[in-house]
Amino acid sequence: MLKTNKNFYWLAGLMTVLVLIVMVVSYYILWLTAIEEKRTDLVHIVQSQARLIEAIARFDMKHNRVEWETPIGERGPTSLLSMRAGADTFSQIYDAHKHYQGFGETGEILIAGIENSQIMFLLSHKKSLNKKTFTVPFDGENAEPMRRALSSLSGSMVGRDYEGEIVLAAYEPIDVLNLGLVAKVSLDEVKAPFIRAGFITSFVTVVLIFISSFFFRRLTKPIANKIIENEQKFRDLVENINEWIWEVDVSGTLLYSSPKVSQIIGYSYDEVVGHSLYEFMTSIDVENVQDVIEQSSKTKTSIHALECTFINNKQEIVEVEMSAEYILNSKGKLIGYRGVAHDISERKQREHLLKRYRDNLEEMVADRTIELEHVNKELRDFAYIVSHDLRSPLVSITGFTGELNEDMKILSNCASQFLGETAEDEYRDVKMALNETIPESLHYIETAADKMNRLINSILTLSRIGGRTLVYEKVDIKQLIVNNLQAMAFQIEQSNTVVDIAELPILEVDELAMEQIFGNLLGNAIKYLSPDRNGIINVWCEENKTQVFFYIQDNGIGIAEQDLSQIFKLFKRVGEQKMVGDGMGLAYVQTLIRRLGGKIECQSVLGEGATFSFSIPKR
Amino acid sequence: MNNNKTTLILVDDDEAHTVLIKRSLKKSGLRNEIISLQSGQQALDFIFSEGEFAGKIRCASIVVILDINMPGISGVSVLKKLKQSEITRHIPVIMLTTTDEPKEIDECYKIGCNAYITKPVKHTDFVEKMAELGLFLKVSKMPGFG
Repeated sequence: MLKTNKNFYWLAGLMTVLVLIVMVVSYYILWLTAIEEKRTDLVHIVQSQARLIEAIARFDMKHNRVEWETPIGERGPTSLLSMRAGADTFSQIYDAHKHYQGFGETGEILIAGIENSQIMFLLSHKKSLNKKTFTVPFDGENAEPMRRALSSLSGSMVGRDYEGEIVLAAYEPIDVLNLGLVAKVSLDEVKAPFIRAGFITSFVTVVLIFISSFFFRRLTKPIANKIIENEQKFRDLVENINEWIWEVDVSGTLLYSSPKVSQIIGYSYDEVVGHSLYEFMTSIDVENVQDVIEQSSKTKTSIHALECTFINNKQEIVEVEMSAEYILNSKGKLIGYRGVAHDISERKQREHLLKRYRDNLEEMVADRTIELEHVNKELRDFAYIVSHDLRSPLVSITGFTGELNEDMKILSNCASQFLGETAEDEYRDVKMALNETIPESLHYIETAADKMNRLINSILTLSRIGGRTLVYEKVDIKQLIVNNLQAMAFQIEQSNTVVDIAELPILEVDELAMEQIFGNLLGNAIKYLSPDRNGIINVWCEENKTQVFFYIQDNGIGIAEQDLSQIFKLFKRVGEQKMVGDGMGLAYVQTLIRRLGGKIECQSVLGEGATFSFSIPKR
Repeated sequence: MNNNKTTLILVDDDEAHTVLIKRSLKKSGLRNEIISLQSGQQALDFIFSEGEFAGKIRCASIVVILDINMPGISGVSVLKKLKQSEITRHIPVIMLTTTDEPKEIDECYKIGCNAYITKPVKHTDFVEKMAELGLFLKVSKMPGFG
């Protein structure tokens, strides 16, 4: 900021100096031209005046027949005033000069001759005519132009006049009268307008430069500030961001590196800039990276998340991830890369660790899965064996109970024939046993055996569900439910039940399992409707990306809160046992849903109804 | 009736079952001789006249009724052996067992059993089934043996 200001003032100063120099030079040239012009003017004046005076003098000489006291050839008369012809001539010159206005402020015409080795000035005409004579020593320093005129020289010069002032003068001898004519003007007068103009224009120029500088400054200051601000912003960004920002040319030599480099590979800015990026990489990676860069330069694509290994100043390996964008010059030629890099050593370490954990976990899961599969198989085998081995004795129990029943009939027929209506006490017990207690005992044995048979069948069914191979195919769930309900049409009509089925998806699932699930749940919903009101059963579903949730809601008798946790258990029946059932339905349903990878839940308020919801994963 | 000469070989390790089956079959009016054996090994020995039955008994024709779950050689193994041998391949074999595993039923039919009957647990059903079996045996013409 300060530097820019200083630069600006330097620039303004330089501009002023340059303008002034140009001005001085141009005015000097103009001044020289003006002097030259003036000189020419003066020469013209003296020449024309001299010729004119000579002409007058010759005329006077001819017509006045004046004897000249001094022989021709000597410079000047001893007493010019005594010379008649000269006096005549002079009176004419005086006369002429009376009407002559002179020239300039300091312009002066002088006529002089030589008398007694002195220059005697006979006439001087500045603004007005001066006839007084005065002398100046011939060999003095002053009156150099007249000295030259009196020495028969003609020309112009800058020199001292009779008063010692520096003047521009033209000199010319007047031959006939042996006089000298000089026209001069003060050099100061010639200079003055130029100096004045110079000062005025210099002043105006300097003022203009200052004014324009001021406005320029005011106009550019916000822009400059913005640029400075932006630069600072980007510099801050580049230097403070948690990334190493760098730039290389096509050969890989670092042209720029943010200070962050020292935190990544330990070398400072000065130690890396000018060096090849490859110098800091492990040799294995150099080729790799070069390949990638070559590929990128061919296809003009950026490099994204390239992982490579660097060696830091402590000779340790640092894992770095780099991304780079190629740089093209204005002609579209690749001139290098600009990119970012950051240390991913920690991340890599975590990844390695994670991978190890994952591998371990996978191994553990695999082991556990095998174990579980074994256990599962054993359980299934167990259920199978138990149910068959239990059935075998059961066949015997029921078989012989049946045989006994038949034999009992024979016996009691026989007894009633033999004993008739005998009411003797010793036979009363026999009759009682034959007709009441034994048939009753047999009945309970049969009931118990029957119940056991049902339990065994249930276990068997459950183990079969667990072992069945699922067949996944597209199933229209709504159609499946409609088909299912047809089997229950009679009960639905009898109980005045309305079944509302919302739109349901077509799922890839095991059809038989779904049939059993919906069969059981809908069957339960109808079976446990409240006798106090018409049944309403709603079926709908919700779905997300991975699962479909089905809901079956009824307004039946509901399930007490404390029983909810029991309903999915094997052989569990809750609430009042008005309906026939073996307590297996929901256990089947749960097993089936679990096999399909889903979950089942139930929400219910006793006396108001129940909602069963279950999920089925999408495939 | 030719079939009266056919001997039923009832193979079941459960004596109670044997008794029940025999009674039920008799009740259905079947008059054929029924020989009951308690294991798969015995059944094979009897049919192939080996072991304890070596050179003892020869029947004109036999029908084998096999239980599956038996210690040692199972009913399925006996069935396999019978169906593998050229001599015994044509002997009718009826599986009569408590097992109703569909896979097992399938397997038995594949090996070549002639009928597969599940022993019903309910007595009335049991009697009914045995009556059907009895009737079946009466009307079927059994191939001669040996």
